[in-house]
Amino acid sequence: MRTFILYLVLAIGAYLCHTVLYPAFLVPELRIDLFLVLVLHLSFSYERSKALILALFLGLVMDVGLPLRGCFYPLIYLAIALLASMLRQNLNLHSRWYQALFLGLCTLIEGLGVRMILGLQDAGFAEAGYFLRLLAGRIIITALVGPLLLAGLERVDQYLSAFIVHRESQEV
Amino acid sequence: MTSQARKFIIPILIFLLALSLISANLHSRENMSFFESLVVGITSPVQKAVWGVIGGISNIWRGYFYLVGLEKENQVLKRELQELKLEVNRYREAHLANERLRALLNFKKSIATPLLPAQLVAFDPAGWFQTILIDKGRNDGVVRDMAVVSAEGLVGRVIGVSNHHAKVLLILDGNSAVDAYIQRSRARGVLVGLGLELCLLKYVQRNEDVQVGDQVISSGMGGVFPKGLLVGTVKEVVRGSSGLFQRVEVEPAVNFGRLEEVLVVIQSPPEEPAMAGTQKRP
Repeated sequence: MRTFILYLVLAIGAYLCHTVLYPAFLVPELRIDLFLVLVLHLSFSYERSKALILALFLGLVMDVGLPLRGCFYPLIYLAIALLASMLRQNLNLHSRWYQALFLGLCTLIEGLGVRMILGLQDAGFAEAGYFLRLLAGRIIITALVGPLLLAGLERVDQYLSAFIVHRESQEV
Repeated sequence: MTSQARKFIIPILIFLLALSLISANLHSRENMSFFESLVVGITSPVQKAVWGVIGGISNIWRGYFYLVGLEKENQVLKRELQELKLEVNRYREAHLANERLRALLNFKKSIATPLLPAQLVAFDPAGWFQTILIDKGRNDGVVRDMAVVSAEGLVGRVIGVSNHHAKVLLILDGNSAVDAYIQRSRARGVLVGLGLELCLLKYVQRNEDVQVGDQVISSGMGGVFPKGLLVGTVKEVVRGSSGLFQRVEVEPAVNFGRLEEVLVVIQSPPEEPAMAGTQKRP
């Protein structure tokens, strides 16, 4: 329950960051998808079903404000969460290089997913150049900063589990 | 159920749930879903507060911090000056808000249809699109496809409503399409967003007279946007050696980076959907 509340708070913080702080301070090319980082952290650290449920929830939150028909971010995040949870046995998750590579790859998947969905709905970007610039910028910035955010989330998890152990030992 | 079976069944169930949500939402996006309304309802007060804090910080930054560089022996005077500056800044902010609201009021008087003032609450969370959330919704009479304007010009149109909020697709988005014309030469085209504070007036024939600095006005075709609203100014015109059309880049009249208050044009949207490529793409 504590874990769920923690991630709910983090998700709300990320949502506020996306909807208020990013537009005020950052150009679209430099915006890291904090939800994607959360989804990947959950997929790396928790069992698959939990990660998928939270990915679905985060996708639904991300869909708020999008001019698309249907709920497509849940599908994109579910696919990424599934991929990450399947590959986590084969990835050296302690290596920041691997994390950077995987974050970049997932940003690419997200971007292509959005592009594909827009294409299916006869919508899109007026010019492909803008989309490619946006995607390239985001891949680079996510690969650079994402591992640091993952490290921060790992630290939060450690504190949380230490806190839980401390509380339980006190109760005993 | 064995753990091995659970390992496969739970992801499949979750994916099926996601697919059913997609199919449920594909039919109509007139109203925001329950979940969307819930998220917007919970987060919008915080978003408004954060916007307030950001506005306050930027005002302090503009009016106060960069002035700090005075001599140490003037500490007392400096403090006094700073206090006065803060106060002046508060007055200036009030004055600017007054001017903005006065401009909105004048604009409201100049346009025949009733207008509903609204405040910006949030931007699109994904960052791929150009949408905003405003603090007026179904309970205030806002419905899908109503035009949204500001004192400077056209902002966008409503694409989804909940009881107290509405989602607006800005003219900057690639999925927005506004039938517009050049005010001077009456050359017509369809304005689509290029994403970054820039639009493209598409389908303007090569032989049409378009010059840098020309004003672009909404034509009123399609029934969503009122006729004669300023959309922007021509920034660049490129006539290639071949092709039917010229490339006309338009700088929007509205400064979207500083958008705070908007007006929703309260009029019934058209019953029949407009033709593809005019004003109702997504």
